[in-house]
Amino acid sequence: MVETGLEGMQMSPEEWAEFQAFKAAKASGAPVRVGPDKLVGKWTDMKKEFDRLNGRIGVLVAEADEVRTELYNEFGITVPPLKPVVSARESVPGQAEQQQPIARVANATAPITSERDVPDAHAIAAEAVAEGAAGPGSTYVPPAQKSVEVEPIQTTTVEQIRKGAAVSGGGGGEDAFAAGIANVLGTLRGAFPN
Amino acid sequence: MGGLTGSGPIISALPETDDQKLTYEAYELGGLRPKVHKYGDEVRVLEAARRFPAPAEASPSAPEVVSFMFEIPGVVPEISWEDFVKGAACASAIVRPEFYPGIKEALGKVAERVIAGGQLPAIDVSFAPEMIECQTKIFQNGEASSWRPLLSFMQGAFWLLTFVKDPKRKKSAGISPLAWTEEMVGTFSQLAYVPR
Repeated sequence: MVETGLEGMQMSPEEWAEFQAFKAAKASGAPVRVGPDKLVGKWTDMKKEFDRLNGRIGVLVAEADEVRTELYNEFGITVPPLKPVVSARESVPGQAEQQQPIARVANATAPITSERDVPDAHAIAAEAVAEGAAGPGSTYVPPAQKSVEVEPIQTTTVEQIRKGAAVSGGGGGEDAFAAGIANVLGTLRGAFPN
Repeated sequence: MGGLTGSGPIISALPETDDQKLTYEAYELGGLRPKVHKYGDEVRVLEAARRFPAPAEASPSAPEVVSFMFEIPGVVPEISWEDFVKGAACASAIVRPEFYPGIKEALGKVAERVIAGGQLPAIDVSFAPEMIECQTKIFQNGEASSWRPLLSFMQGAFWLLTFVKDPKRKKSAGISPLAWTEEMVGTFSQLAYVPR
C-alpha cells in the first residue's frame, strides 16, 4: 500500500498511480475521464463522481503520453495506451453559463483534441468513425442532434471563482470568490440528499 | 502590536507580535498567515441553528459536511488543507443542517482554488480581534507541531463564519456564532490539537 500523506488513507499502487495520473491530467488542463464511460471536464464534476465511485478513480486522459511515462518511471507500472478521447466543449449561444460536451468517440485513434480546437473536434471525430479508426462500436453524434449526451455544467459560479483565484491577493478577487461561495451556499442548500 | 497592516481596501494580514512574526518565519508558516478582507453583508447567507453544541464537543464528523474532502490531495501541504476543512466542518455545527450540502459544495470550490495554486480565502475583517486572540492561543500552547494544523483549522472555522447571518447576534443559548467559534477554536488551540 502507498501512504498518501492524507490522514488514514492508503492506496494500492494501482490506485495511487491512477490518482497521480489524474492530478497530472488536471494540471495539464486536459479533459479528464472518470469512471466507466464518464467524461467530465470539470474538477467539481470529478469530485462528485469520485464521491459516487467511493473513491475509486478511473482515469483516461487526453495527451497522456507523459502521464504513462510517469507511471512507468515512478511505479514501474506499464499502462496500456490510454484510450484517446475526442472531447470538445463549446458555449451554447444564449446560455453562456452552460457548456456542453459536443462530441464523444469511444476507442478513437484520432488525435486528441483540446478545448481550444473545438471546430476540429467534430471533424476529427467524424472522420475517425467514418474511416473505422475509432474502433468497433464507436459513434459520432453531431452537435445538432439532441441525442448528444449532455452534461450541463453550471459555470457561472465556477467562473466567478476562477476569476477570484486568478487575482488572488486582490480585494476584487476576494469579493468575487466570496460572492461565488455565497451563491453556492444559497442555492444549493437542500438541493441533494446527503 | 499595531493595527491591521496595509492601508488599502484590499486584503490585510492580522497584526503580529515580534515573537509571532519570528515564529511564522522560523517554522515556515507564512502560507498560513490569516488574511482578512471587508466583505459585504450580501455574502451572509447561512442561517444559524437554534441551538449550538458545546464548543469543546465540536467534531468535524458530526455534521456530514466533509466526508470525502479529506481525500483531496494535499498538493499544498503547507496550507494543511484537511485541517481547514475540519475547521469549517466544526463550525458548521452552528448552521442549520439544510445548508450542509451547500457547505460541502462550497468547500469544493475552495479546494479548487487551493489546488490551482491559490491561497486560503481571506476571512471577514470584523472577526480580526477574535482571530488575533486565537492566533495568540495557538502560539502559546507550547506544541509547535500543532501550530500549522491549528492555524489552518482556525481559518476554516472563521471562513465559514464569514457566510453566517448576524454572526454577532446572541442566540438562544446566549452566545453568538462569533463567540461560539472563538471559544471552539480557542479551546482546541489551548489543547494543541485539531479535533478528529
